[in-house]
Amino acid sequence: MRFRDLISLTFEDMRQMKLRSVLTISGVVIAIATFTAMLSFGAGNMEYVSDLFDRLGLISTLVVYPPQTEAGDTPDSVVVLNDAAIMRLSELPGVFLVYPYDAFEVTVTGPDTTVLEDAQTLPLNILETKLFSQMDAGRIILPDSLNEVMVTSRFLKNMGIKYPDSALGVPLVISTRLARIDSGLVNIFDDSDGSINNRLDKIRVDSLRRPVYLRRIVMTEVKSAMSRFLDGYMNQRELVQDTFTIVGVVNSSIEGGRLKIQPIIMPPLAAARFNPGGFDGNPMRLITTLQSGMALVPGNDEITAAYPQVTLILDEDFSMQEVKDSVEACGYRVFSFADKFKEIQEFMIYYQLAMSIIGLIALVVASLGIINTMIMAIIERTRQIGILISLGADQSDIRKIFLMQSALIGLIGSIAGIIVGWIGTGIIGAIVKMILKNRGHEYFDFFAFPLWLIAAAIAVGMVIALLAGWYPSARAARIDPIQALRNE
Amino acid sequence: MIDVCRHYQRGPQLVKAVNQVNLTFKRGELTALVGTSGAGKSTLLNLLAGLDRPSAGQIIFEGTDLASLSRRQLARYRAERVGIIFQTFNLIPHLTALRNVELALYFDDMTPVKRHSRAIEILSQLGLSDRLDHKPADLSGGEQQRVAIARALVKNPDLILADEPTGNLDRDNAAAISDILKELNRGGLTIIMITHAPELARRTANRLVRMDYGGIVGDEIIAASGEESGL
Repeated sequence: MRFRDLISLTFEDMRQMKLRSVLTISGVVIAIATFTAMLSFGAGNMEYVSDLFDRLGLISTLVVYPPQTEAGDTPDSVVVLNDAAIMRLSELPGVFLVYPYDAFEVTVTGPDTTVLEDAQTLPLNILETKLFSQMDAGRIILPDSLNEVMVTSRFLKNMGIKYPDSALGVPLVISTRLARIDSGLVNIFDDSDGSINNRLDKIRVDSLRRPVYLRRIVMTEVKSAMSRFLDGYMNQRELVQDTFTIVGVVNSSIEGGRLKIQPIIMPPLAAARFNPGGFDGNPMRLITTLQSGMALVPGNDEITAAYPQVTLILDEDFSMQEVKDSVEACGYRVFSFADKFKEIQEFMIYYQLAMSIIGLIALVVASLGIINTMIMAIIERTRQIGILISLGADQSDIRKIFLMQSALIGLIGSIAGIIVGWIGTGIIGAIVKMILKNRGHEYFDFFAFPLWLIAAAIAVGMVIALLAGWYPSARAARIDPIQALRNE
Repeated sequence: MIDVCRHYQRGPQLVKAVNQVNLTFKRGELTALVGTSGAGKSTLLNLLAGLDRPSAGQIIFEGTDLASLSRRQLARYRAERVGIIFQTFNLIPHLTALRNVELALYFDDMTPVKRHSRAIEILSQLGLSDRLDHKPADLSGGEQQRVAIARALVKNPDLILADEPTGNLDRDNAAAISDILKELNRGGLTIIMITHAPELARRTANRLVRMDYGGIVGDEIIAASGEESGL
């Protein structure tokens, strides 16, 4: 029996039971639409993540951290992330660019509001990498500009600016109060209140020969000097301020997170005015920096020279794993976006599997409908089966006729299900996007229909339909033609 | 047919539907099988059609024992060598007359174009050229049986098996159908026909075989038939 004849015969038979065929196909449509919608959500998210990693070049980006210090570490054994370390890392094969995380706190005054924000120094060549190639609005800072800044969407939110485009050209007054070592030192010897003289007058010179007395006097003076230093260092800070213009709003997907992109980004030359390596007044930052152990390293007197993290951008055609191994061999901890991507991929596979199982439950229910329809069809067409056998059909022809009907139900149902799923998810996606957009949240295409999903949906629909049709078709093939021809 | 038996169990009882039948059908013969209900005529016809297998004995068709053929070979035999006509026409109700006739060629190797023209040709020969696109429900009983005959003839079979082909027809239509069968036989086609109407048998057939209780109780030549056949 020719394939074409099989199809035409099946279509003619299905036309005879239109309502039942439509209802059965509807079951498959709903099941496949559910199946594809569930998988397309995973596919949409995976596509977004994959595209994001690719667009931002995250696959070839590593974040390097200093090792955790442990009790018993001597100052000589502490591995730190300082400028020397950055130099070493930049010389590793496969490393294209290296930049440290260098942030400081500033006060930002916009046209309507003043906020306290973290600013970040980023070298201009970093701004030219893929990481900053995707801007929500505007452009990157020009190389010769000292008064341009880029901002993140979090900053816009804090400033009450709704759309990225409307932030471009907005002037910002950025200021900070800088603490300096010399302010502290000067304060140690500042005797404007006469307290040093008073204390010196009270010292009994004769008693200085007595070690106990001497120790007490020295301890008192050291304590007093330290207190005066800290008082001068922290409270007599110099006000630094300048006016900047927003020229770009960076892609919201890179802010925060491992890359620690801060709300305000400025190039090193502009940042030097606000962050000359001194303490910006935030005691927590001082504590964190001291905890990094940098202050203990002999020969380093700048406490800000130890960075909490350094970002490495690699040559794209170089093995990320090799570079990662080299960096780890230097004693650092490494976070790899490629590893993270693999983790996300693995998670998405499990997610897709879970979604498939839920979708398959709907398909199993639909398959019961197919079995029911096919059995009814066989009962109603028993005589027809007898006629076909009398005309020369063999068992395999009869089996094929009914399997073809199941397959057609599966195929039509699958195609229609994909279309319904596509339209349904399109509508849901549009509504969700609209809501998120209105609320100023990040949004993307949550549902995707890649070719593999369409192929998988058709294949699953067909397989389920064929499995559902297997028993009825086998039953049809076993029908005794003589009994069938007697059937009324 | 050599010592052909078709026995089957119905509950505790062994039914001998066909019992020890020995018959030879010649090519070009039009044989009428007559007998009371339950005599075994239809069972015999089903055995000849390859729709059923004998419990014992041999059915030799041109040197091949049908009982030794596989299901697939029997299907091929039905598709190419035998045309069957039923009392109740057995047309597929949702197909047109043309498609019903074409259906008989679905299991042959004929191309769709040839199949189509062959079906039109045979229906036209039977006077149904204006009924090609009619469904069975739109045709009279006589027309339906002519479509059934066309379906049986379309594959140029060696043998036509007709199970009471006029049983559901009025006298005029029955006469018309018997004339067609007679005409086909004159053209050299071998026909074995079951009938309950002795006068139709005598008017149409050239051999009369009587059956009772599964066996042959009479076999007479009514008129001279065609050449000797291997059947």
